[in-house]
Amino acid sequence: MIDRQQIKAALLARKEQSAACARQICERTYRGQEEFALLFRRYLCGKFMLELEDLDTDDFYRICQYSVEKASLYPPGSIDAAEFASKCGGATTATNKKVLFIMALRRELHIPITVEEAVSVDLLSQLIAICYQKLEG
Amino acid sequence: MHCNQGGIEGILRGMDVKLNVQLVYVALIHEHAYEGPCRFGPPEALTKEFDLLNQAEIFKGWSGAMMGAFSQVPGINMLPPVYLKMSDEFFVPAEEEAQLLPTMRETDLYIFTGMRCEGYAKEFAIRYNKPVAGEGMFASTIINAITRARGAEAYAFLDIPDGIRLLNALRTRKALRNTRILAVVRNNSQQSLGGPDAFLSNDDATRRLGINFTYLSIHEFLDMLHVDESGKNYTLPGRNACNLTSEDMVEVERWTDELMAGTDDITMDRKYVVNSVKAAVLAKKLMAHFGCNAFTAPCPDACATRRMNQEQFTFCLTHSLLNEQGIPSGCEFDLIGTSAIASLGNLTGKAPYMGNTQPCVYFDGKVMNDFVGISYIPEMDHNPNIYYTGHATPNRLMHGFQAEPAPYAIRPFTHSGWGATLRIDFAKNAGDTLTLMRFDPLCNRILVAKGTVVDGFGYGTTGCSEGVYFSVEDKLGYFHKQSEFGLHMPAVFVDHVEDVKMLGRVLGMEVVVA
Repeated sequence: MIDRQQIKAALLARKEQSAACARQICERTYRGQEEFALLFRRYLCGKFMLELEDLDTDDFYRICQYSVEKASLYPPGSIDAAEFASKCGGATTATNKKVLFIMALRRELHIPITVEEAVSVDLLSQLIAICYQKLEG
Repeated sequence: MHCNQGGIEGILRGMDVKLNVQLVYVALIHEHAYEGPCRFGPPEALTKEFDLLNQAEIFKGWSGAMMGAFSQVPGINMLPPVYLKMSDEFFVPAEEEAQLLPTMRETDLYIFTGMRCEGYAKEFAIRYNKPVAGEGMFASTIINAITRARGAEAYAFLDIPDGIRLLNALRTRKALRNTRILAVVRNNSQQSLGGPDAFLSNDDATRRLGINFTYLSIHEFLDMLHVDESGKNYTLPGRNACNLTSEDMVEVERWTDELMAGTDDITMDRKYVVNSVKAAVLAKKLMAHFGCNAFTAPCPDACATRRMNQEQFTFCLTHSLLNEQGIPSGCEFDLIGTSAIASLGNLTGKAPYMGNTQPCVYFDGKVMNDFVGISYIPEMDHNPNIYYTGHATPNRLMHGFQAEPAPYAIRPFTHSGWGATLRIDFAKNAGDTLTLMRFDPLCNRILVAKGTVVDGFGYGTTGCSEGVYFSVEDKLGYFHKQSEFGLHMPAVFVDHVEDVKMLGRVLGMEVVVA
């Protein structure tokens, strides 16, 4: 069984991982879109408590869902099902995760993603492309 | 094989009427970050920035799901969804509401959701006199309750299937309001000898259902069957009339050929099939002329003129063929039945079959009233709840206008060999569910019933002795409920009781379930 100290250490490590990636992105240390994409994915994994190999889909909502499921140990789809049936606001935890990540991109990476752009994002690759274009375009 | 032979030129069918639906999402955007009795969460999730992003995401998901499901429903036209922003001062500014104005004229229903949208939806329904529906856990019940309580039109639906049921019912109501029955009369426009269980007032039926009626003399109709004799009709001397023409006869011959080629089981002369098809083509020609899209004609009343005998046809085939084309057509000048056909056909996307509907009374291996064509069947040995519905007007599309047509035979109605009728072997549908419905003479209530097909009768016979036996839950209960409604009950396959209940709700009618 994982004790609380281990959990805390893991959380801090992930926080440092995403902070390090954010610094590199802000300092433009990457060379080209491919390196940017890898940094971006590491940043995302730090935020979502995932491993790079967990990103085996390009479906960004599914990645958000998986992050929630991994943290909660619930089976795939079960949290969405429960939330659609019970929440008054209509948002799922996975949706909120996406929104909070977009806000983090704005705040930590200084990428001015608009609401319309954020809503249009269905794929991780789309999001990476939008961010790269805003930083380098 | 298509059953739209003969075309529908010039006839705007009820099934072609579209329901225009507008999704409206009211997005609650909190101006400030705070917690309290109705909101809580981490600081960043309480910000206006979060709400703007989060609400847009919810709108995308909600409207996508609704549009995806509802736009697949035949006859439903989904307008582009609208996103209205409302602050935590809880009012929708005029500039936001302005998004709804351009399409308001054609919109038939507004579906609202979003946190705290209920008050706005209610005011919208009252101010603009437009039906609204609430979707979602809170919006649905609250909007419906507070709007209806104030005399405006509102609905609630639970989920996508329930929503589809509502949209189909509303589309049916719109189709009924665009229905005009060409009612061929003999003695009066209220009731016929074959259908004394009629509306007390056709005007009341118009008021309640929206259906209109255009009346035409049976004698004028019969005169117009005479080819290329416009101007020479005894009933309309010197007047240009809609008589069949040589050009129309090309279509009559084609349609006859197609019908006769569609079955190996035909026991009548082609010339008599032609006679019956002529009536169907003339009915359509007259409907197009008078702006009608439904049809009825008298039976015993017309029969007693002896002119059917003279012209050598009955209207049975007309009713079968028109119903298959989505043009409601009821026999015996039954305006209630024809209205029920229009309702059931629009509601289900299937061609209703209307017949005399009665409980079978049987004992000791005998069945009463076997003059109508029914007989004792083995099922009666152990099942006390057998009903029948029967007329020589079945059709091939009771499973749906797009369904595979049922096999059929063509047989004469009369002993003499004329009067084409379709015959369907309903024994092959044993186990299928039937749904039947009818309005009451006051046009205040709807009777809906369902049963399970156990057998058929009359496939190999002549006369009006064609039909289907079906088992019901409570024959006696059904009978006593039906006795307040009347004899003919249009039927389609599959259980549509919940659909009819929803239709009753949108028409403001009590629904009696038998």
